[in-house]
Amino acid sequence: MFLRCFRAENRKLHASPIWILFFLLPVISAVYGTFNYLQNLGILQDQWYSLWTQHTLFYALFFYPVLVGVYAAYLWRLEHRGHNWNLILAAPVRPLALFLAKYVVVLKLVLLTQLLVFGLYVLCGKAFAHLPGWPPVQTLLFLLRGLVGGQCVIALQLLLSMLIRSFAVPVFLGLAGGVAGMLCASKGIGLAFPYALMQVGMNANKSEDLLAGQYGGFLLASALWLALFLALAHLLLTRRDVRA
Amino acid sequence: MQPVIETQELCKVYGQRRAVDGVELHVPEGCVYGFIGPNGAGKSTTMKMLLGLVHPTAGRVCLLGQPMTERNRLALLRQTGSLIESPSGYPHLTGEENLQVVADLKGVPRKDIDRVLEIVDLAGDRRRKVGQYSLGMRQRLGIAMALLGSPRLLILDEPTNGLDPAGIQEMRDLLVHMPERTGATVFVSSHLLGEMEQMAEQVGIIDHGKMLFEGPLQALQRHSRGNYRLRVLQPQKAVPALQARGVPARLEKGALTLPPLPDAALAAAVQAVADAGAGVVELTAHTKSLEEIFLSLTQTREVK
Amino acid sequence: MPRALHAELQKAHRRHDLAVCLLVPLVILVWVGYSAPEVDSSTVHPFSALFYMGPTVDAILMPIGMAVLATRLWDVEEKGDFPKLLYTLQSRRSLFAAKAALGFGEVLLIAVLETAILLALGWWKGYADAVPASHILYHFVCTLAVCVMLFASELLLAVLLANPLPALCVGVVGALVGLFSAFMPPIVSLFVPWGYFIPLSSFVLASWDADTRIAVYGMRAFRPLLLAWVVVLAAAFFAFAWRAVREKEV
Repeated sequence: MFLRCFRAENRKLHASPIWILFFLLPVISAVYGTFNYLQNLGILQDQWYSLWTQHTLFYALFFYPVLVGVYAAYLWRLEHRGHNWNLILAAPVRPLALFLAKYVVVLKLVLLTQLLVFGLYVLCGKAFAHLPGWPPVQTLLFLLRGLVGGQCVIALQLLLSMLIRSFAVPVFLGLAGGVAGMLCASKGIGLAFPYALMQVGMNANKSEDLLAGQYGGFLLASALWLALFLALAHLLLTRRDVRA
Repeated sequence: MQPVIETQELCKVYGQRRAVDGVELHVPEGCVYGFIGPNGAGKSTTMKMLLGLVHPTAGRVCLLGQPMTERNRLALLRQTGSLIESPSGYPHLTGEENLQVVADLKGVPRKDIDRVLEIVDLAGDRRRKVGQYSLGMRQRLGIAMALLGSPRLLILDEPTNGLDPAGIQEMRDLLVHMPERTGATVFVSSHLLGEMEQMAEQVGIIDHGKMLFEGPLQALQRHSRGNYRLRVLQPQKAVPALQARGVPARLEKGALTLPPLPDAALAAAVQAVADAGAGVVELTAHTKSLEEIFLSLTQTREVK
Repeated sequence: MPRALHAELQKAHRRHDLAVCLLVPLVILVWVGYSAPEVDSSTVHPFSALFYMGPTVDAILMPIGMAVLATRLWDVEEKGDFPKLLYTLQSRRSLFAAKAALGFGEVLLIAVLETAILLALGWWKGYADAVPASHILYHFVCTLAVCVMLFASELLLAVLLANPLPALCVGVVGALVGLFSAFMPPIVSLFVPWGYFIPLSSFVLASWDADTRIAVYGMRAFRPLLLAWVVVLAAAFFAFAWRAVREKEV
């Protein structure tokens, strides 16, 4: 049942040119990141680590939640228009399965985006920045941590787009969340806010490991936020009368 | 009397496709005009051109006795009410608020809203958001919007779409009596011929963008002379007799089917069958329903 | 026009447009508020620092914010399947004019609040240095002009494509490119309309000493030519959007 939902949601996403965004944002980030790195070699002396921060800073801070927001809004748009809600909820599918299917589809896309970011990072590092050797394994870890941290944002944005019938407003809320996350992370309470977990995970703005010794807290926070959002989604989907 | 709607050589071409091809409409005042055609015939496109929503590739539209230009279009449309394709309705506003928007733009006093809500039987749901309306309710709201301001001309595209049988009946009564109650002219399109038969006085039939027929419904029904069914005791004796007279007859279900014939020829044919000793039992005339007329009209076009 | 504008306001009912308009300045308030330097910190001319921060924040928030406003303004008609009825009730010109007027009003509100917030924050933090009124006014005018230009471009996309997705995506990519252009050589930023807040700004980071960590902010000359270009762009986008509304077949 879940697999059927997943396939349907997957098809929806591939049917639209929205994937262009998933491709364009990392490429732009990579271009500017490399350029900025090369312009500031005097200050940025940590080589592979410095290049990493240049590539991922704005992406992790702002554009990741916005990107996720756009995907999430797009997946709910078809239900919001044309009273598809009735169709969906009358189908022999558990409502949470539907939500999870969307979650997994976006997760898949985000994973691909992360891999693209990493691929571009390595490419630019060797081809343009002429950095020696290969990037430290830790950057790959940062990448995966970013995904772990950022997955709860996927659930949150899906929840927002489910509740708010407007397409664009949840996207802006994602941006606002990214800003708030940045502020939280800079004040040191990053683990307490879902949007901040992505930035902290990706280690986007510092060369030293932000999460040293805090992995437990990080993973716990990630899991808790996800559980909370899924529980809310389940509650809202089953309790609320279908107000198509 | 000036026709309320008149078009001359109206054409609309989309790329290679002629959606509307030389349509000439003449809608007399104070009647219910049925605009009939199968799906994709060009009904909606023609109606959009009547309202100036789509620019004709060629031809002219005259509304309420005046040729429609950009300058007088809105003034003319102020005296019309329309519902094209799917009904309009802002889902986040209530039914009443939607009507307020339309009434204010039309310059119609707010009191009229109560009147039209009563007519379409939505008074109880006026404070619900249109997003929660059923299809039938949204259709009725669309008609209410068209009725605001008691327009002289109503242009409605499939107004009974989505309504239940009771609703269809009410709509039909409303539209049929509108000319005598308010003097309005009602231009209705549909592909449901049974509906049209009960509502329209004048009909226009369109298919593949071309007008096939326009005139009173009765005139169309006069073309409805159908086959005759002749029941005889011994068909095997009747058939040669008919063939000798040059009347092609088919034997179906124990009875003979004769094509439409003028009265004199028919009488002579029956006489011949009786003389042949076949034993005439029953002669019935089969009148084509509007549906059959329509199908035969449209199919002859297709054979082209 | 008054009748058309009244209709627009009716359609805005229950759409919480005001809340959305206020959301953007709220984010600015929180962001700049948290990042604003303290009085005794190592920032010289903190008020200038505040006005220096404003355009960077705007470059990130405004392209997406304007996309949200513009798409909501036009999408309401598509959602209600209303154009074919509206065009029989009012001229396309009055519909567009009313939408443009309402949109401009919303953008004006946001620009006013943005400047007001910067001033209020500086006053609340007790900054000693004063910023000349001419620079404040210039900042407001530039912010307004760029926001209106962004709004008009998004409105054009929303009308042409009848779907908020591409317009929003353009806003997102624009914000990214605009932000990055701030870190590029100044010549690049002239070619990136989404980031025009930054080259137009009359506040600069005069010097930053890595050893003492003292940042000195200052002011520079206005850029009237660039501002004029922004106004021309805004007018052009509006004109194209008007043409799109006029030509669109229902």
